[in-house]
Amino acid sequence: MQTLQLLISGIAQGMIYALVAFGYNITFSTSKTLNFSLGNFLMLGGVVGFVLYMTRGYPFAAALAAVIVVGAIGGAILLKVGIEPSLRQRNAYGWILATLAVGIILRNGAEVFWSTDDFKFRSPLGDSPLRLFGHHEADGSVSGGLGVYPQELLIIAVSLAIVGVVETFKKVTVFGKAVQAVSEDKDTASLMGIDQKFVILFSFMLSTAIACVAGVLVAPITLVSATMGTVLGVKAYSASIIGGLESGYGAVVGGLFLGISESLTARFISTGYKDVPGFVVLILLLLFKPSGLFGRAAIRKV
Amino acid sequence: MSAAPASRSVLSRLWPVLLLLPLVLPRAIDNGYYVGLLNRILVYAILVASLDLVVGYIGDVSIGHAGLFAIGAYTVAVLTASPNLNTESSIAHFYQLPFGVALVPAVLLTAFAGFLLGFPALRSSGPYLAVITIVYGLIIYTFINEQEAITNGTKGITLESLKLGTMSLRGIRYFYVVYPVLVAVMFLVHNVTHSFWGRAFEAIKYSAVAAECCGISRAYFKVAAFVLSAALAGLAGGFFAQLDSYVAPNTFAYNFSVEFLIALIFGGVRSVAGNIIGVALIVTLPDLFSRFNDYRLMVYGTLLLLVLYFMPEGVVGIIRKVWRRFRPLDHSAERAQLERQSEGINVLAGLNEGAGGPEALQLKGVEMRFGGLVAVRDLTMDIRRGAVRGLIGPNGSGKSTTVNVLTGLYTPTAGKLLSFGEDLGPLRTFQRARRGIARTFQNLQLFADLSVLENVMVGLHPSFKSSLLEVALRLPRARAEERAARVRAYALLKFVGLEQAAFERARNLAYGQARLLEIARALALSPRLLLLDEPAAGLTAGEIGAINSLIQRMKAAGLSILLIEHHMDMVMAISDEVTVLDFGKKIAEGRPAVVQSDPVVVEAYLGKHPTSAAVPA
Amino acid sequence: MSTPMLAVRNLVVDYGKIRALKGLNLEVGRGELVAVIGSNGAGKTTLMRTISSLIRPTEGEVLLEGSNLVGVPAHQVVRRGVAHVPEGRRVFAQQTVRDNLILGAFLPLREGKKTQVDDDLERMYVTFPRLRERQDQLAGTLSGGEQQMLAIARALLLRPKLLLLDEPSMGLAPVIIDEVFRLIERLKAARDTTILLVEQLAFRALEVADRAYVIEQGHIRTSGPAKEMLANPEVQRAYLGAAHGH
Repeated sequence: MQTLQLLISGIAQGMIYALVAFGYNITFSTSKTLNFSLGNFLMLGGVVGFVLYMTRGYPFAAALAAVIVVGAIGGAILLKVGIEPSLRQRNAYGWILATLAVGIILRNGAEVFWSTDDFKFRSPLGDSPLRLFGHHEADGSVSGGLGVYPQELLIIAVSLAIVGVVETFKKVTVFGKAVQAVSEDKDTASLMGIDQKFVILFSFMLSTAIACVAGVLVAPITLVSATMGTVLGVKAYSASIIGGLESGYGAVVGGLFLGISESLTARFISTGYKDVPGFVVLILLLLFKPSGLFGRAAIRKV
Repeated sequence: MSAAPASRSVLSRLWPVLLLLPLVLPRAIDNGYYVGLLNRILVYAILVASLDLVVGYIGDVSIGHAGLFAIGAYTVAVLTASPNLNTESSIAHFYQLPFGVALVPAVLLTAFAGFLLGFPALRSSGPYLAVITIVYGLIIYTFINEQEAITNGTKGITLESLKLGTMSLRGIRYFYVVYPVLVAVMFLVHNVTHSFWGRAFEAIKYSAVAAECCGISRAYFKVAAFVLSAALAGLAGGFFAQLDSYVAPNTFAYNFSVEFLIALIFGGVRSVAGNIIGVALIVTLPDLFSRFNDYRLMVYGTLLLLVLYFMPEGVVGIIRKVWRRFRPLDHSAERAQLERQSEGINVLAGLNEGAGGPEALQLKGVEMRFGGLVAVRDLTMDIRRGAVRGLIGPNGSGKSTTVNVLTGLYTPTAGKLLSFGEDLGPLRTFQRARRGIARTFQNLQLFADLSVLENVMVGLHPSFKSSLLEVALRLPRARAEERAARVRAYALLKFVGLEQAAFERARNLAYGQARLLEIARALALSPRLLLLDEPAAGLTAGEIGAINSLIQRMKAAGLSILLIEHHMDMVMAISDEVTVLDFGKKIAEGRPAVVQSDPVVVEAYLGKHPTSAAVPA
Repeated sequence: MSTPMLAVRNLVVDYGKIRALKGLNLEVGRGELVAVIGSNGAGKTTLMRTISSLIRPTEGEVLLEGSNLVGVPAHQVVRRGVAHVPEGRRVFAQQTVRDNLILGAFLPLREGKKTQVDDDLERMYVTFPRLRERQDQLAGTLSGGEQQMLAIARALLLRPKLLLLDEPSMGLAPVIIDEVFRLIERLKAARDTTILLVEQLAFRALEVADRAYVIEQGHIRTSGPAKEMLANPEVQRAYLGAAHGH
């Protein structure tokens, strides 16, 4: 039973990694850049959500909507200020440094303009665990059985919904096909009348909005702080690369692997080493199958 | 001083200052706190110099050097710590070795860690590699944090201050310990990066394929760079441990790597002076403005963006530009010397292999298959010694694939390759280059920010026999080889007519000049077999004439040449024999006139004529 | 004389450091099929990519029915009725045949012309039965010839005023090339699309074209009615060089 609880927590955490990984994949497939600041966008979402919902007391739905808008605008700014100028430079990897820079500006900005402390974020669904399959007591309460935080279930449901909706949209709608076309061959997509600049802008805004939502989702089960996104962002790369940088569902598999391995390692080996299995798998993958479990191998032409 | 490098670094001009500094500076700074800052700058400068090897020279973004730094620092800490200063620690064993002794395993262990990092670096690049370096740093951090029996975990290790006899080497005295180390490191790094080693690193960065075709083993040099970088980072870590006589894991977190990367870029890559300037900034800024620490990362992030967009060469780049306003670069003295010394050098001497003996090139039944696509099919072709063979065919007929197979970029799926009787199969690209197979590229593969002269010197890479140690210490043999190489490179530029542009950056060359540079670079290998892949593409008629006469002269000197070209007048005029490919197969072969009027060839190029009779040319 | 469908004036195009086109002039009249022939590296594909705005010229004008396309982004050039079938076909290999066709109809679909698109799609399937057979297959699994048909069908779904065909024969076996050129003849016979055809196989192109230009190293060498060019030895010389004595 305890293992099952661990698994559920691991799955929930894993879905957060999956959402950020999904964000990486979305912008990688259209622009061929990896957004090193995405973890800090998760933090941005968590912090903005905290300020609106906890500090100012607005309803959760309004706070969530605001977070989405802030995330989208942030993505547009990131593209214009960070990515586009770097791609015009001579240095092929200038964008790595540019997105790193934006990331640390975001994080320090939160520290300066908000706070350096950690805060508790109350779940909109309540913070006491649900007891499933438990023993019903005479006074109506439930004891024993499987303890699950409602927030964890919310995370899993919403994350799957987000990935599902976006992936379906990509396959079913014409605009979604256009996005796939831009990912595959930008120039030829232009020849179809598709505005590839707009598609890339859209992908950035979507990716950062998703990361911000992930921040709001994960806040109740950890703590909200200016630094909550940094290491999470790094771990999400693992999820991305494990699943393959262009695959949506691959991100979910990668995230789940990471979340579950962390949960189990923390419990059965040591909390300090919980990140290690994920890192080790990542390095092995990058050595032997860099395109990830579900990715397509790129062919280099001379 | 012997023939100095074309772009003299800021540092090599300042060496008198460097020698006087230790005598003047510490006395001028009376305050112990500022001496502490100075020591910190020195130690960090070594770390940034190590990072520069990977980021500036090899061109890979590394965000994990904090981990390498940590290995150096902790190895020293673990080996020198004494129980009386760490009374409540979890440390299992105290070795209590002297500092100097502990430095050796610190450097070696970190170098080994760098070696391990080198392998992923061979397989991945760009963002993937950046992620690996981040993860690498995090794994090391986790280990240090968790292995309390060795490292005392989060509580850290306190060290005794360094002692010489009974004298404690703190503060100003520690300066006198670290300063010579920094100067020595800068001297070694400067020498290595301004030698054929440094050019090899940069060549790999600009075009790994072209570097291999100049005889440089990418695997060897890339891993070597990581090892050297790690060794230096470990050394810096060792001295860092003694800076505060205390180490704790949170110093070596991910942010540390990011900050030092910013320091490197801000100061200016590939410049020892830049490394020091960048470090000085991040060490002193928090001191100049109170509460700066709160805004530190925002400032650095913004600074990084500004540097990336507006001053990619960093502070050092700006200093250079300003300096050049007052003292424009004057190469005339060096040029005069090179002119004198290169007089009488015949770059084509000794290239004649003589008539007897096996063919320069033999392809037997070569097939190159990519999955379902057969790019080259059953190709049998010879090049006699001293002959020029033209290779032509419509788009996609397999010509470039053939050249790539010859240089070893692709391994043929069937058939044999022989050159002067030697089986090329087991030889890798850089080995084939060293055996005398040189090539030029259809899509230019120049080393963009190296000078024209340096580009040719990369072609001379196999001629250097000095060891790394000789290069690092600038011993006589290394200096002599470098001088000789510069002279020979200049002679090669004279041969192709590019000597006027010798000190220009290759990226500033006009297209026609760039093509000539590739030929000069290929000739630098003293090749027996020269593969020219569309050398005249995009050239004007006049420029084509120049290339033509070069090829004539090379042919007259006895070089065997394979010429792929679309300029038919040129190919037909200069080739002894022509082979025609279509869809990867040979469809015709023979003397130019025969091939030109062969109806099969006409049809391959122009399609079937409606009246089915080729019009006589 | 009415405005030509396409007029290129003094076009100078630099590709990196190479001056690929050195002051080109050509014209395509309404309903004509004009061929641009020349060997590799002559500048043919650069010309096509400049017309569709994938490359920006250094100097010169590209006039579509009199209005200049230079500076107009590629996706808007398409909106003005120019469909470009790129060199090497460039189908979207990871999407199905059907989705590739739908992408070809991206603009009409955005303009709400769903019925027109459905009709056109059906017509394409009738013209290219093999595409109907393979409509749910990934485009990357099709043979070269099938991909060429797909790329052309994709372009036709736009109902373009001007169709740019860039080296349709490249990499195809002679029998398939026959098929492709039969299709091009049918398009020409229908007379509702103006076609600019760039080809390496000069004789094939001259057979179907009304007029032709021979391009060599970024210049127009010669031009004229296609039938005359077939008999002109200049054409062969442009590809294989002047006759050689030895």
